[in-house]
Amino acid sequence: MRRFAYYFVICFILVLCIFAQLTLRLSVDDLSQATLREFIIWELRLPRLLIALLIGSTLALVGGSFQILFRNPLATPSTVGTTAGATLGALIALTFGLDGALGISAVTLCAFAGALCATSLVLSVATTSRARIEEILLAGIAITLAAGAVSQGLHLVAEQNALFAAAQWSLGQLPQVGYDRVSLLLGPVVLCHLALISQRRSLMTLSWGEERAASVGVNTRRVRLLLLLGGCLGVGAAVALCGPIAFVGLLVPHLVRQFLGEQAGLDLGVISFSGAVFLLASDTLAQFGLPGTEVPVGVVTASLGAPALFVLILRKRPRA
Amino acid sequence: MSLIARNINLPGRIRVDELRIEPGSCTVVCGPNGSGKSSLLRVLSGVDVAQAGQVLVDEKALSLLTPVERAAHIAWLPQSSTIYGACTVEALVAFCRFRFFESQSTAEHESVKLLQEHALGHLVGRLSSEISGGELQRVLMISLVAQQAQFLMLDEPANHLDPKHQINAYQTLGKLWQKGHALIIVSHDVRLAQLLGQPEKLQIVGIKNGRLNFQMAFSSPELTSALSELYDAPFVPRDVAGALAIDLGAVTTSEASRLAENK
Repeated sequence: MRRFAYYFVICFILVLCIFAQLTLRLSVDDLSQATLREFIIWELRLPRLLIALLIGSTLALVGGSFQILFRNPLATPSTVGTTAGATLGALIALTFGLDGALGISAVTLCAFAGALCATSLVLSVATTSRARIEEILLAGIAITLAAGAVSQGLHLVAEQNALFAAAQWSLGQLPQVGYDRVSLLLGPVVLCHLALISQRRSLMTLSWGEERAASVGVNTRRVRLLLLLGGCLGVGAAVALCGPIAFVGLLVPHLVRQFLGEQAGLDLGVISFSGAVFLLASDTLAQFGLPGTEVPVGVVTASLGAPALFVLILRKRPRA
Repeated sequence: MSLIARNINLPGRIRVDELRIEPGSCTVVCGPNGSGKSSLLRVLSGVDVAQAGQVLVDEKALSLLTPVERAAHIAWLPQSSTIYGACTVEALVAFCRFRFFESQSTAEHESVKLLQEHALGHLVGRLSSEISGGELQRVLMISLVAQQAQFLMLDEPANHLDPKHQINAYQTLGKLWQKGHALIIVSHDVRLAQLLGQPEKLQIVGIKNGRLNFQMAFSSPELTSALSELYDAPFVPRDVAGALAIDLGAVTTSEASRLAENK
């Protein structure tokens, strides 16, 4: 029953957000033409809404899974260097003015390639037979720092326009794109969800630590590879398309644990669903919060996330 | 169907020529701090793989079994077992049914039945973070039963418990032994082993500096001298209501002096 209650609450907020996204400001704009109204709803707002749902659910799902896998409340989708790799890739595309291919921009392609490179480096550590989970975490930190250092170096040779575009990209913004981009994102996101949710029971057992999980029959090496690969694929695609959107992967699992109970923090379905709603709500605020201007959604998630995290820490009850 | 450790070598930690654990037996591995008790248990359970030697279960090398096959033979409870976050007691027990590849609800249903069988039904529905350390330890012990493995291995199961819960924990283990589970328990306090019952069948293995020092029944008359040598502390036999028990000499000496004064 408790589980149904979670979903009911999240569904209610989701419906509210969708309703707000699709209809807000339409009446203000006084759009009398039905075709224009339909174009705005079905061709502009709905694809963006779908992107928000896909990316929000992916970031939260991966964040929640990584927090359990690493048994670390600070773990995020960026922990294993995916975001840093993507950022470096995007910066390379902007600095050297690379051309896109297959109708996809160079920034998106290079960011995705950067994410995959960073991930494969971490996976090379994860596949060694006796690698401990803390060592994978350290490898992720090392790759993040190395990619950050190279990015800083690139700043010295980049032109001002490229630097400005890179800074804008790094804020994280949901793009105004068509259904072709939604379908492009759908593949990695669905694979990511399948990989992570299929390992749900193994992951729950991993909340006990790798050795304990192995002793009850979990093939920990295979599970962590699947989780890292699936997670990084989803996050790489999301970051490549929208830039790094802060706090969704870190905050949403904590919000779920705080408001829906500690047990819900192990329920990947609830976390994924909550992430979708959180990013959609943030994007609604980003689009319609300030009249006449749109704020990057990454700025909204960070502005909401940082104080929310602070409040969560202060509210946390002392352990018995 | 025995568990046999042969020519085990973990450099700097343990070196064991042969140790045989029979099905349905109960073995308490004792020794001073840092003697290699936990290392031995980790190798026997397959958590660690020795650099040399083999652990055989059912005549197959443990290192060659898949995690699920290994879990069918051996259930292991480490000294400290903290969970990230919290879950209900029945979900915690259900984790140990992983090898059965059943749905979470089936696993939890079976876990509730098991908890009720072991008089822990009152904890069903409560979060693992909300129950006391003693209750949690009993739940964790029962979770080993949920795994339905042949050998249950426990590393210092009563280490962080108060005396009442220590007694409770060992009595629970005694009942599991009576029901036919093979137990291998690591403990630095061998006095607790007497709570397991059946002293003539209870095996005590002494380990010092990573090597097996002795293996004998709890009822063996040589046990106290072997323990005294192992710990470098005076262990003495005591007669409690006609049954053999052991205690540290200091306690018995003070009791003896008090008795002498009374006389």
